[in-house]
Amino acid sequence: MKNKKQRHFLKLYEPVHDSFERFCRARAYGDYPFEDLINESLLVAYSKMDQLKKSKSFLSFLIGISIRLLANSKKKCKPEYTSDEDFLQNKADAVNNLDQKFEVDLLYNALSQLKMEQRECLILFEITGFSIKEIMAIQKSSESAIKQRLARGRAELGKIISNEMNYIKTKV
Amino acid sequence: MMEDMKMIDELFDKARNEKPRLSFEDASKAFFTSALAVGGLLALKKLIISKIGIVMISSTAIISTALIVSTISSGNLQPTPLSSSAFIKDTLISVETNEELIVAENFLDLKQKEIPLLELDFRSELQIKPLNEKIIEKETEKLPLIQYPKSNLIIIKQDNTHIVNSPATLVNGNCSKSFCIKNDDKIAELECIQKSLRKYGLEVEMEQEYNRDDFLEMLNFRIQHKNGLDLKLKVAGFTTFAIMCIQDEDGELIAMKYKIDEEDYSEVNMTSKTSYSYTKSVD
Repeated sequence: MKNKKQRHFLKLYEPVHDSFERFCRARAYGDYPFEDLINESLLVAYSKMDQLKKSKSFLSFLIGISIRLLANSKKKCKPEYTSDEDFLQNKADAVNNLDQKFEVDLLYNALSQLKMEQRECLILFEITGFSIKEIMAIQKSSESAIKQRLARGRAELGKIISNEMNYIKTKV
Repeated sequence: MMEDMKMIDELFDKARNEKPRLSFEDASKAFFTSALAVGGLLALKKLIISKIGIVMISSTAIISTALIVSTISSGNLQPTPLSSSAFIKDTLISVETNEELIVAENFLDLKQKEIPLLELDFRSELQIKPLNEKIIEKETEKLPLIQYPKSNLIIIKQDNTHIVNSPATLVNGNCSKSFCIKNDDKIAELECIQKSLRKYGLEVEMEQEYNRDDFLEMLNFRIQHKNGLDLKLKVAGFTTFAIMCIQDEDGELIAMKYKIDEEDYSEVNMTSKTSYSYTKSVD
């Protein structure tokens, strides 16, 4: 019975794994090891499966759990780079090597410098592909607040990335 | 500014299309390991609680045994001889008869008076033969239905590892029809299934969620029958729900079986006058 429950759970999880992994990786960047976040969220979700009303909202259900876990956690992961200087130096090397992984990391690093709500909102909208309505439910905020977070977050992100790129160009 | 936005869009696009660094297989492996560890802890807790229970049960059992032994030795109660018994290797089987039943793993002990003797043969295909009776087998979705004298049809589910018997009291179950409800069925299809099931005397209420005409998800089932059956199933999260109706030769519904996704069939005997009312959830 237990195996059946686990199989059923993983059957629900498989189609949303990629999206959930990307959300966790972007959201936990620099704060928490994303693999641990995924695993802990899955365990909590599994134990609270009876609270899931629709299988189609499984991704939102998982994301809600991971957000609460992050909010409650004081565990910090080791930063991949000891300082922004290190990160940008690494980035400069990556640009030379045309490494896409580092381009994504550049984005995650920039996102991690935003306010928590802005960061979460942008990840949910841009990376996970959630609608404003869905984000409203997750963040328990109004439509105008979400739209404002998206606009301000993007503007802020633009500034951060542009600064980083200028730095990289000078290094390269 | 525009260039910044374009660059952000490109980066988000790359992030969206990047392959996951943690694969689904690795995530499920980690989940299984952790779930096992959490389960182990819970099991330990249960074990400690049950140990306390066992101590209490053991003391009761000692007193009861002493009482029984003293009663038998005083000659008030004689053990009844068994009319039929059989050993079954590597099989877990239980059979429900009108008489007393003793079930044990790898061992079947039947104590009957009116029912003919059983001949059990598990060497090739599973067969349960009442002596001097014709055996009727019917394949229904890999589920052999084996008929035994009236009121003792035994339904046997067979998988690769072992044979499990689910007790039943069906009569002449030789006609069956299956209905399969999928979670992407349209309203019209569901209404059609409901109508067909009504012909079998089954009133099915379905609580669904729709987006306009599109069926989004089935939430609850309620299946009722004139014999008093009131079966409530919480099915949110399912992909397929199958209902199988089994009739007798006169077309009377004698059993209904249902299964959610890849679960085994659960069976409800409709000839019984007992009223059912229970709730089952997908888990």
